[in-house]
Amino acid sequence: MKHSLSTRRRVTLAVLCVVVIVGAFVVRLVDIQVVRANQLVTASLSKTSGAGTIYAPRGNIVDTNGVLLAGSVTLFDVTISPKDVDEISRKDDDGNTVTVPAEEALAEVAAITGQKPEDLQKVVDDALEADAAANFAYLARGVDYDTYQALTDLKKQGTWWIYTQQTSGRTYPNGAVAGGVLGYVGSDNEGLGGLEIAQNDCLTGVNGQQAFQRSKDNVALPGTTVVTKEAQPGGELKLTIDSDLNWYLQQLVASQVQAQGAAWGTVTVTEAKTGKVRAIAEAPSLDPNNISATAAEDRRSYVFQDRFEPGSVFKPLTAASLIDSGLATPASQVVAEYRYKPENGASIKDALPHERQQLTLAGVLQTSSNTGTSQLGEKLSAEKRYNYLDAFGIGHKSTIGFPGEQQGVLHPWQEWDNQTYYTTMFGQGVDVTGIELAGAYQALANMGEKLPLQLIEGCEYPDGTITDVPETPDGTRIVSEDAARQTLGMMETVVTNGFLADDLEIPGYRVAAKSGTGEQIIDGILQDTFFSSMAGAFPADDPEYVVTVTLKDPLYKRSSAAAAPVFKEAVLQVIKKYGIPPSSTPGAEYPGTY
Amino acid sequence: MSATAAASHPRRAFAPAPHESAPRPVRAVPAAAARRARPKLAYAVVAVAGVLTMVVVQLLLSVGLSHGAYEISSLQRQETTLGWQKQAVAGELLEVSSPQFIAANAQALGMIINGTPAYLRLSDGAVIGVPAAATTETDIPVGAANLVANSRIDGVPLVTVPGASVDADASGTGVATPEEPVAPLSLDDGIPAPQTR
Repeated sequence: MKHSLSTRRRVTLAVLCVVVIVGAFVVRLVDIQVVRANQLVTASLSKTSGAGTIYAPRGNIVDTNGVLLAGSVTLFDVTISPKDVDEISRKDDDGNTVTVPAEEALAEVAAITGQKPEDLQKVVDDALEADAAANFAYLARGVDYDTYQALTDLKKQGTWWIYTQQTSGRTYPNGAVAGGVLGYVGSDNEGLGGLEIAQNDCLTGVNGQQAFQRSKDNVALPGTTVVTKEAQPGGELKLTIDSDLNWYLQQLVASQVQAQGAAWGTVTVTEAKTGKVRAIAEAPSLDPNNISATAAEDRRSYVFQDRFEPGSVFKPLTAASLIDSGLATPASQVVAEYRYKPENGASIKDALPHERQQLTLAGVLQTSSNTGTSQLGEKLSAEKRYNYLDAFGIGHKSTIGFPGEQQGVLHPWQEWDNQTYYTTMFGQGVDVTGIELAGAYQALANMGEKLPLQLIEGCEYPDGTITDVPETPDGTRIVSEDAARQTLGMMETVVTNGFLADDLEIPGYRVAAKSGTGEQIIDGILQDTFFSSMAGAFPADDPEYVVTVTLKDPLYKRSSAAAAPVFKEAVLQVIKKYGIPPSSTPGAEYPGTY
Repeated sequence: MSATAAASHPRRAFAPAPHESAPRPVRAVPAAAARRARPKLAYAVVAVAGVLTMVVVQLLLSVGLSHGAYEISSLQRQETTLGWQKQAVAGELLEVSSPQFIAANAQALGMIINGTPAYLRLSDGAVIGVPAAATTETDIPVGAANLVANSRIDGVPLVTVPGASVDADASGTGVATPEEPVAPLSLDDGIPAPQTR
């Protein structure tokens, strides 16, 4: 009996022990699996898994033919672990181990990155000064693949304390072609100017994420990489610009800016019937590849971001308004003196002294007579003239919405003083931007119907969706078709019979154009340099293209004579580019005198 | 134990009861037992060999698999590198396709721009437009190709003229620094009026 009791106790004890031990395990299990589960899982994951960014490239910018104007490239940042910079040992060609001093090793790196060895040494010293245990500093940012490859080879030879990391950069293969319009990006690859900033939403991609299991030395284990978030690349921005045409016009206007010692110059080409801007050529122009080489004031688009008093290129707008109102015809007669002193006390004179001339309205445009324009123009009230200019888009910016776009200044007609009452007829006392001028001439060239100008054809995402496509615009009629046609006819006689005919005429082609020599008043002082311009459309019987040329402060030909040859060459290039056949109809005949 | 010895042994054991021996069929039981023993060994060998094979195959498979994983990883890395290489080469191609590079090459050959458009109609050979020879005597002398800057092609060797390369534009602004005005502006006669209107 005693024996069996002891057995039972022993069994009980054993069972108890088992229960206690199992209980302890259960408690521990619950603690690990339930209570601290998240914490432990996180801790374990942080030790065994890694995450990486999948870079979503910024979208390309292409011209209307798909030519790449701005693209994203993979670049590399070169970093260093300053605390580890020390001599390295490597095998030479004979298999002997040689020791390379740290300085020499750093010089090898500098030779590859194209930096000065002392600059690299300074990076290391500065980093160590700030923190003696510094293990990270940038040596160079955004180096290309060849440099990366050379550094990787160098690293294999023992320079283990340099590292490379992938980054994204921007390249503009055509350099300064349409550079001011394209704009540029900052070191973070975000748009800083021009379309790069205006279309940042279209161009910017969303980076993705990937997770992987990693080894102790932080290397991803093969086959464990899982994409947790797909990268969404940015959209491809398509412009209406034709890069080849743009380059030639830039070369052309840059040549003239150089030859004339001008401050800057621009050429624009716009499709008359669609409002699509085919070229915005500017000189000087920004090379977005190398922003720092461009003076700060040149890092912009003159066509959008500068305004000027246009001068006589405004006269066709006044003429079209007069004809549209029924107050004049191309044959309307006027006696133009050198000076005209209207009753309101204003004083108008022409650019050069001349004898009394008996001019028609066409003749007023041909000779660019200010006094003639004033006498014919005063038939139309200031309010109505204001309304016409307003409708032509003067003082309204363009619909393109270029970042930092300026706005012309057309004061309300009630604020016009006696002089401005007249000068607005021939483009003084009013400011326009280059794009506003192009827009106004587009309306004339499109037989009186103004279309919103377009610079962007659309933004196409990799999945095929296209956004930002301009709506098919409804034109706004500004002057009647007859008024536009007659005005274009008179402008044609400017080319054939005007004072710049020798510079402008193109045998076989009908071109309508008007010159402008804008006086410039800065701080109340009339400048001795002028704003030279030329604007027109062709073929004159049914215009397809509008061309405008501006030159600021040409020094040798201080008038529209500086812009006229640029206009002619630009028209010739557009003719060649788009294969426009010579006109088959006779040119307009409007006698200039009576 | 031999088959004969096994067969004789029961006869000795059951000899005192002969009445029992008649109806029973005679069977060579020990012989059968011996026959059964041999397959047992084969089974064991097969089983053990099977297990061993499995272990070895499993080992080889897992080695192969992980080797494949490393190969995939290395190929992926190679793909990335080749992608970068392709991008670098494609970028260079785009850069030498730029109008500036083509113009620089053309200018190095002495080519000039002919501004006069004229067309030859193929159907009847008619000349449309007014053809004229290209000349340097234009109103605007077309400047060097580096007037429109492109820092991407600075120093790239020309393909048309051996030894020459694209010059960087000194100012880098897209317009070379203008030379000094040949006739400095004089204000002696008052502010100059525009020569034309």
